Amino acid sequence: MPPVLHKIEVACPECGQAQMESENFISTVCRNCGHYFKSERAALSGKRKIRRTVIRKRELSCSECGTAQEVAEEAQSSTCLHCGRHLELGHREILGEHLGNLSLEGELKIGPKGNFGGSKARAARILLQGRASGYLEATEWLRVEGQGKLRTGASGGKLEIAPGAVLETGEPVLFQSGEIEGELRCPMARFSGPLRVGPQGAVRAEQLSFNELTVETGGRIQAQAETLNG
Amino acid sequence: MPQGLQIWGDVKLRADAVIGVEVKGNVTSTDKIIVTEGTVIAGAVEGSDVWIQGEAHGGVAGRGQVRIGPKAKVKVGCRAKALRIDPGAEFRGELQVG
Repeated sequence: MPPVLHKIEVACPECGQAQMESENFISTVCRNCGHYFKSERAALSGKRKIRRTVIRKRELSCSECGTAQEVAEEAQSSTCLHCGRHLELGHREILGEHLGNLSLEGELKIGPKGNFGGSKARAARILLQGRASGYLEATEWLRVEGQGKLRTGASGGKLEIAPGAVLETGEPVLFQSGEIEGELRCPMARFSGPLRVGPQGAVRAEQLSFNELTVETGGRIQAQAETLNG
Repeated sequence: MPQGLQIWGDVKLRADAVIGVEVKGNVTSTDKIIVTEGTVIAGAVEGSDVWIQGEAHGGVAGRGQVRIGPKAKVKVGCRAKALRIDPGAEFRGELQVG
């Protein structure tokens, strides 16, 4: 049996003409004057709000081929649209022993008791407070705050060694720039841009090359050196 | 000094000096030395503070600060307490700072 539709009498707010409408009516037209009006319930509820989520995006370059793409700001991983490489976008903190290799687009923190024992770690930013023995590649910066002893080398954007910290490598260190407030010991260091050695800083390298060098009073360097345009 | 003048032998100074002539030997001073742009010193340059704008083929030693300017060329090495090598400078040699 079909449901019974109850009718109610409604008066036109314009001319006062009464007419019958379904009790659930939302809006209607006055059969006398043609005025369009809403039911009281519909008028009270107002417009239904449509909530739209704005997805913030950021640009990401593939670490393999360099192709740029846009990803959601909160995305944890993505795949390069050009070469198909899996890109892990999040951050990682190593608090104990870590033996595998790592490749992140975010930040890698090797805590004071952490030890990166993999053969290579790659991240946009690497903060080394503990120990690491594998190769470190930091596309933006590598900041050393502990006693880093790398069997291999390190490379990336900027190398920062904090006061009291030591970075010792067995292979070349290749960066765009350097701020050395602690100690750097390596067979070869190359800075394609400026290198600054602070008052407590020290660099010991068999070979050192740079584009620009500033050694403040108190800072120390002992190396066979050359400028890159030399 | 007239242009094109050359000094054959070592130069020892007891005052601040600006060197603008070619020296076929070493230049030493108890005080500051500036080697101007275009000037070639075949030997070493040693002073309290040294600023090389020209060329020092025998190295540079400063008891204080050494600055190697953007058009300078320094060979052999550099010894200093503090050092600044500007971009564009050519340096090749042993570096001992501190």
